[in-house]
Amino acid sequence: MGSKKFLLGIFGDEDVLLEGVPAIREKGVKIYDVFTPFPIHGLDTAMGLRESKLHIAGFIYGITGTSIALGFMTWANSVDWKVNFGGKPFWSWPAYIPITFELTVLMASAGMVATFMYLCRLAPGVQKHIMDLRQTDDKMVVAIEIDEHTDVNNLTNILKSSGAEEVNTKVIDDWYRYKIA
Amino acid sequence: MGHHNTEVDLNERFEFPAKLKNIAFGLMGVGLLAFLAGVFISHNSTRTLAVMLQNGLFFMLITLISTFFIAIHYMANGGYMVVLKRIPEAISQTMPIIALFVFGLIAYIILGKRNDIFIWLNIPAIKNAEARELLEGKTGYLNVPFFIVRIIAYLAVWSFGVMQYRKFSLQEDAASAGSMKNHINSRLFSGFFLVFFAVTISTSSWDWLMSIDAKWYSTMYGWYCFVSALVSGVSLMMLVIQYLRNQGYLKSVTDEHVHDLGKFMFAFSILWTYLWFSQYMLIWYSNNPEETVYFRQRYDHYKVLFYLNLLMNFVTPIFVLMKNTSKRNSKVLIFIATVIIIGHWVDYYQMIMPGTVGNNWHIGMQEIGLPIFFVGLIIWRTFSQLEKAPLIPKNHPYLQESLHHHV
Repeated sequence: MGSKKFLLGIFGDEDVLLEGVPAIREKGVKIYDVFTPFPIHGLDTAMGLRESKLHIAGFIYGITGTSIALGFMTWANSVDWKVNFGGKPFWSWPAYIPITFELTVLMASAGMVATFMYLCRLAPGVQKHIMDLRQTDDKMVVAIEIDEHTDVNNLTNILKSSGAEEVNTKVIDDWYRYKIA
Repeated sequence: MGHHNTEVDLNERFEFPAKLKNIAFGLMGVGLLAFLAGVFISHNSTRTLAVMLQNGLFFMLITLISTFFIAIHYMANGGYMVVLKRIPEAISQTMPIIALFVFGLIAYIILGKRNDIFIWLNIPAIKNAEARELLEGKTGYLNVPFFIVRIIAYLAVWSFGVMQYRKFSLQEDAASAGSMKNHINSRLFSGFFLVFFAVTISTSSWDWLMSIDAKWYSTMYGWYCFVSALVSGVSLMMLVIQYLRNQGYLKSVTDEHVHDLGKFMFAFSILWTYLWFSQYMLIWYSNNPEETVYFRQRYDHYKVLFYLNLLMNFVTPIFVLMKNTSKRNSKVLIFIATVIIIGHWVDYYQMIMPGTVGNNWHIGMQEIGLPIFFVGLIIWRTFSQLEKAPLIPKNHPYLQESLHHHV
């Protein structure tokens, strides 16, 4: 898939990072991603990420579950194999509600987890690029994608003036989006 | 993120505007007059007692929920609600006043042997031998002395809890910063209070509501009444918070806190529907005449309320509050909170009326007047209590967490 080159600003403090990220973006620099060892409240707004659409996916999965459950039970009990239960009508919808509810919740939750894991590339055995090993310990890494046209010196100065403790370059030779070990 | 809250005024105080005070007294006056006029016009003491029981219980329980809300947050170490804690505290102070009303009313019903309200008060007068036998079997629980002991225990302990949390909170304000004594005491008290509350919120609804239809019973009933009060209680808090925010108070209560309360309104509406449906479906499924009579009566003679109940308490909240942005929109939240409170008032109405006034029900002057009186009472009491203390409990150990709350 070719190679990619990143400039990494290493931050040591979350408060500095939260003020640094908007400062970097104000200079017109596009941030590829920020890697942190723990969740930082307010970082997504600081990075200007758009609102997640995961809940819309969840609604669609839920509606699918509702339709499958209601549709299947309707077909089974009132079309395919009619059984008289206590003299009740064949299409006794109140009896379907618990199963419909369960399937709605199951499809919505399982579907959202699967979608989330696909989008975030999280699963056992999925290979990920590590920008800097310290991003899993005590440092926050702001990654900016660069190529041969980028003014690296200027970018380094921007990162330094925004609070980065050090600035490194990282080259990833075999860039992939999905790779399973 | 210390830079976010530099402008928060920890000593902010609420001033009860004279205009609002006049509105509160006006509502109380108009409501009381309408109620009394309705009583004289209708000349039906069963209907009057049933209306008083419905409104007394409904408004007592939704103000009591505020104390439950505080208790559960202490127990679960919930930190986000600290900045809005003074609101449930102030609302709950109305509860002991309404408790006196409820106590007087139920004592009158019990001592007057009003078997038009509670049929089990006069078993020999029942003509049907089978029903007589059934109710005689329940006298171990449904008898007058035990009933009076129970009502005194419920109301006394609940009112004590209401006042105790307020006391701890005000002591915490007066104590030196960093003192954990009142927080630990509140937490310890929550343990006892919640255990008592969990049992008595069920048994009280059996006593005061389910025993109206004494021949019928449902194991879901206690939870059902509790959640009905719970969702309306949270909506009441939401209304007070929205009022204060629109008046320019409570700068530290952000959209994030409001969003969380909105989630409670949404989730408890679904929980209520779950309980309503579970109760309905089990009875529908077994199709046992002893049980179906409860819904038969409501479905045949209270059809409008039967559907209105589901429309206001399930369909409207779930579809309006489902979207993220509507839980952050002041106008939408005020609308939905009002719908939920009126909806659950209707819910309590249809719980009480079929067993008392029977099939010939009317919404008249007294049905409208009494809730207006109670709304005025709650406004007056809540805001005059809110005035007495700063709006933010500044020594609460979770204050910083609450100020930085982020969904």
